[in-house]
Amino acid sequence: MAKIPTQDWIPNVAFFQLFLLAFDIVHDFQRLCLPRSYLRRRARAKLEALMPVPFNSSSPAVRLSSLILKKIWPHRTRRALSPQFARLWNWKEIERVLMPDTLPVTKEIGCWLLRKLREIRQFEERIIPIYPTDVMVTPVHLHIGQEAVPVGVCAHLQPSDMLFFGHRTHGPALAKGLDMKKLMAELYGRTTGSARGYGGSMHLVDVANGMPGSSAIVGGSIALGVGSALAAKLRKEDRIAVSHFGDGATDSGVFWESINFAALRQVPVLFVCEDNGLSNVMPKSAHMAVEVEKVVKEFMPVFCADGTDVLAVYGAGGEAIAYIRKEGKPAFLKCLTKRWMKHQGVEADDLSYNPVDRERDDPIKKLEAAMLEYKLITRDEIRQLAAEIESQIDAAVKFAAASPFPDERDLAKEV
Amino acid sequence: MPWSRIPQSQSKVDGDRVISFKDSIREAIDQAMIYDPSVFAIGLDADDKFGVFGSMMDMTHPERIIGTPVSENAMTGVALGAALSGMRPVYVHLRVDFMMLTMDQIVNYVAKWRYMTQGQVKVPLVIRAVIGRGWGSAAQHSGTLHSMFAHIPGLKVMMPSTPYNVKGLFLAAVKEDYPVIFIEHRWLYKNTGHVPPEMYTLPIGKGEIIREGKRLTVVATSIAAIDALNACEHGDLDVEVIDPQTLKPLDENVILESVKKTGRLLAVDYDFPVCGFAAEVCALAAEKAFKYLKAPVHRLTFPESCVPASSVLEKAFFPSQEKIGARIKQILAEA
Repeated sequence: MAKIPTQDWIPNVAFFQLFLLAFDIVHDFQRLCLPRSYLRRRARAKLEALMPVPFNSSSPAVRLSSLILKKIWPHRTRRALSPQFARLWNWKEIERVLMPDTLPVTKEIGCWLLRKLREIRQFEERIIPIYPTDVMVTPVHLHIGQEAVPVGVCAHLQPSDMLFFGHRTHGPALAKGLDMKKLMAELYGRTTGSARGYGGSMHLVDVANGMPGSSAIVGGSIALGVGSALAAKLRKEDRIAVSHFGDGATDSGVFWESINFAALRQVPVLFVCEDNGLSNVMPKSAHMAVEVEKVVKEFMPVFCADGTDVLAVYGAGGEAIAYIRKEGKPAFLKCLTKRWMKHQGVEADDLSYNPVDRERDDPIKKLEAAMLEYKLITRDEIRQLAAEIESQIDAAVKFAAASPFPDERDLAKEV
Repeated sequence: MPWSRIPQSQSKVDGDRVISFKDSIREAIDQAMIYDPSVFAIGLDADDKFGVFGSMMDMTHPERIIGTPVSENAMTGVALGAALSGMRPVYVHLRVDFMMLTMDQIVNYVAKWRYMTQGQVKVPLVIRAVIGRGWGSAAQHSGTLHSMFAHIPGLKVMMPSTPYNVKGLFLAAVKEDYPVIFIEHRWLYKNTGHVPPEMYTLPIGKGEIIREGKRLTVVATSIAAIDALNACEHGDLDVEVIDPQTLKPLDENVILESVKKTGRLLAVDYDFPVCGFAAEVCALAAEKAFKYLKAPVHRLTFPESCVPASSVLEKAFFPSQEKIGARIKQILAEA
């Protein structure tokens, strides 16, 4: 007995423990595609287990210790991990939880987000009473409840970045910068509309703001975004393209063809899936066998956000777009959200399997509450903003109603 | 790149260089890509050395030739997206039959985009497709289908028949800010003819009288025009043969003037008969030259059937020089 076996086992056991720890971490990383709220809860639980006192306490001493912990511990760990893992682990989220006295946005950006959210909401709320009077003879697909997704994404886009979207047009178009007057005039079918009255609600265009048209055949415009990104790559332009679509579009062949080609050619395109859980009136469980991001993550990095929280979309969208701009490669952003209205028309949705809590799922209320809490805005300023937008909409309605209809003789113009 | 600088050529014989139809289209694509860096080619097997029957061989800018997966629908969307972003894509299809996979993009997007945006966005997109035929290619590899595209507002449809036309029309198609469906017949690829080495365009929507005659007007496109011409030459018939070159916009004047002169019309179209191009030509004559017609109009097309594989059936199915000649003689005998 030259050796005592146990002496050799000790490092082995330590190694085994380390291996278990590594396995645990990898296992956690595999849950990357879960909703951000879930990740946040997990992060909190892990940190609470690590720390002797609740980290979100308002006590200065605890905050200080949190700060020190943030400064020392995560930084070192982060450096040890690959960048991809760090992204998936979502350190920013943990830092945000550790530093509860800051929002991830400045006052300026917060106000911009709120303004855009309110523009979309108030514009569409104005459509509701006007629509039954038949002055707008065009099918409208209202965006109410889902505003956070295009607003959070468009906050990171330049006018040169191209945005392609589907039939639910008003939200993305206003978020990207379409003039409200042009939009209202298009709904009224007037020559001053964005497509001079030839497009209607579903075909908006604004070349100067990077919207070369929208399409109402579900799925097809996803490929256009990839093509635009391919053009940017071929011409070596410093811009990206964004394909914005709903969960229904992910059932289509053109979606998978586009994902495959974008990954093959490594073009700078962001796929934004605004997942409201409904394909017309069909629940997701009835039209999709597997959550789409589980498959897409094999093709490109997937970022997830709560689509009813504009700050979450802003954060995840910012990470995704920063990745695309830096690497010139495609990425996928998935946002779970809620559709408040029917697929088409101006009535509230009444599907039993689409319960909407207008208090809890409201992106505007969420943002306003957060901004008020962190004193980035006052109630007076919010009231002022709402009134300002309301008067803008008044002006848009007046402008549209006073604009001329197209000439019958121009029927076949630009065929 | 100023495409307006490319001269428009009208004369038939410019120089004495003789090359094949295949080399002519290859040269046109290559010159377009050299001339304008925004021109690029995309399609299944486009980057293959022997891709698209040798018409994509040895290009000067291989980095702008993009081979694609078998995803025709999305790839047409990709080409359109690039066209909207300032590129001039050339989408190539090995067979026109494969374009049926992209009909959503072609009909709902490509054709309508310019109209929906009222010209605020230009769509400089050329979609090339090859018509296959013979050697038992059968029902799914022998389609022609040009009438289907000509039916859609917003699409221009070109069917060149000679090496000279194919280069001029292709460069005109690339120069256009409109979507163009460019259909080439596989059997024309080996034909040779005079082609000027420099770049030139041909006017779009301008038909050509390829043989003068007094007793009958024959309107035929692509290889049918060559067959009709050969039939008339062979039988020494007093027949006028017109090659419209572009199905849409159609040169109505050249057809109507000829019908007014001859009083008889035979529309030859290698496509299915119902709602086809031959029917369109006949309708044109009936609408606008009825009082000049001395006899009912005639059509010579595929039978109302799918394409068979067996060589005996295939021979019975496809029109040919002999069949055209026999039909012309029959019409002239009745006169």
